[in-house]
Amino acid sequence: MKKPPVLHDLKNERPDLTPPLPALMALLPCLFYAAVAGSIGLATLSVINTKQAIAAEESALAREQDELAQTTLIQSELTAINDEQNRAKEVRSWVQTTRPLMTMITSIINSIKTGNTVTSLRLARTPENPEHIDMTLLINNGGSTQVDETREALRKEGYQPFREDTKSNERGNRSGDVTYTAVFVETSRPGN
Amino acid sequence: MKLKDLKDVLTFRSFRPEPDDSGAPWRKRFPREKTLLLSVSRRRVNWLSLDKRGEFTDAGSMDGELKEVLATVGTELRTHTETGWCAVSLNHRFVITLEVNLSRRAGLEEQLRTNPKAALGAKAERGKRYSLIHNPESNTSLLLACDDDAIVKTEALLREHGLQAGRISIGIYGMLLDLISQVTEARAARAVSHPGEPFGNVVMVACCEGSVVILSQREENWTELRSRSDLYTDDLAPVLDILMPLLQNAGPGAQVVFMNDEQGSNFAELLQARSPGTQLSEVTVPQQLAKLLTDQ
Repeated sequence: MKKPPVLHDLKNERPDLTPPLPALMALLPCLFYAAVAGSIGLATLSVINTKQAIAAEESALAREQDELAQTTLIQSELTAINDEQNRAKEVRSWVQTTRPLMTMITSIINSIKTGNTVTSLRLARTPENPEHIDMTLLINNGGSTQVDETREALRKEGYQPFREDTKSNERGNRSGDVTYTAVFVETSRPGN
Repeated sequence: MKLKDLKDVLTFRSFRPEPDDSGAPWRKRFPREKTLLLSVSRRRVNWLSLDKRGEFTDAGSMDGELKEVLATVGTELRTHTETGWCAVSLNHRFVITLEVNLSRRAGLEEQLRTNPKAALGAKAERGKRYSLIHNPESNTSLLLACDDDAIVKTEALLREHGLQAGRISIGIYGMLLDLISQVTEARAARAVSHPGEPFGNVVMVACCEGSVVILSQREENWTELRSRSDLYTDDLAPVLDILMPLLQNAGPGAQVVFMNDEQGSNFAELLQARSPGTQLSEVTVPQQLAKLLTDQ
């Protein structure tokens, strides 16, 4: 006779006694706890990632602010440089407008041959095109030959003519009178 | 579905037997839970705790009836169990008898609990609770009868002090069943090792907190049984007075198999003094009764 696995019991048996659930069903609470643990893990991961993303966003925003500040700084520097450049251009223009015309006048006078005279010489420059020198030259005698001489002399001094015009002023017995108009641009002197 | 059911599923309580499920082993009912074991005699109560690790701790005892003891140390005993559950060995107000030709129909054990009259017929008495075990090799049976009043009162007293009875057993009856089981195994082992040789006569003696039950077995047959409660206190000499006639009836060469509720008794010396040369096998293990109460 084999010993019974459970000792006898004489107490009152409860009528609503229920047998234990099958052990296999214990998977359900296990799965529940696994799901809870997984949820907590995912939530933690999510919180960590959110914090990292917020930190990255804040860092990016800070970098953007820095970049914007730098851009503003560069723009203000650029504006200052442009202002400086404009001022420099104005100064350059002023310097060019005030450049002495003596060398040109000297060249014209020296180019006049003996017997020929200059009746009128007008040199003008505008602030808009200070490098352009409008010249109006009235010559007695010499005619176009003298005009050529004068032009050649000026070219040697580095003045290049354009928009030239030569008018003959022959009146009475006076021949060879011409009015020469041209616009000169100073270039580098030949040989320089 | 109630909230408690849901809670029980989530705490895995639903997958264990209920604490008062008499069909389930004690360890399965209370895994990793401290429970109290009480051994209740007429004039003495012993207690022991089974802790979470499965070790017996907090042993103690007090002279007096259960009611007096609980009034004195009930609060302390309540601290020895986590949820108030305890197993009780009732060591008095019972009778164990040897019956012949009892019905062995299926479901008799269950019927014995619910309707003893239908199961036992004229042998059933009003106000008793029964437990029964049959000898599979003969027409004899062991019948335990316990006063219903004793069980009801014990449950009520425990409840008054915050304790709940998860099991109420007659410890000595459990010990006798254990003895019978061991003898049967030994007999089967001898039949294999020495085929054809007779096993001989065995006299089984179980002593538990002053109660004694002695069963004589001749080969596979149970022949005689004596049962007394409140027979002795600490000295086992009165047991010998009951044993000697049965030992003489068993004849020369009969072997005595002895089990006590705890190790360390002087039964062997007493038996040798009264009946020199009698073969004795003591099968008591440490904390025998406590182990029996917790299905170990």
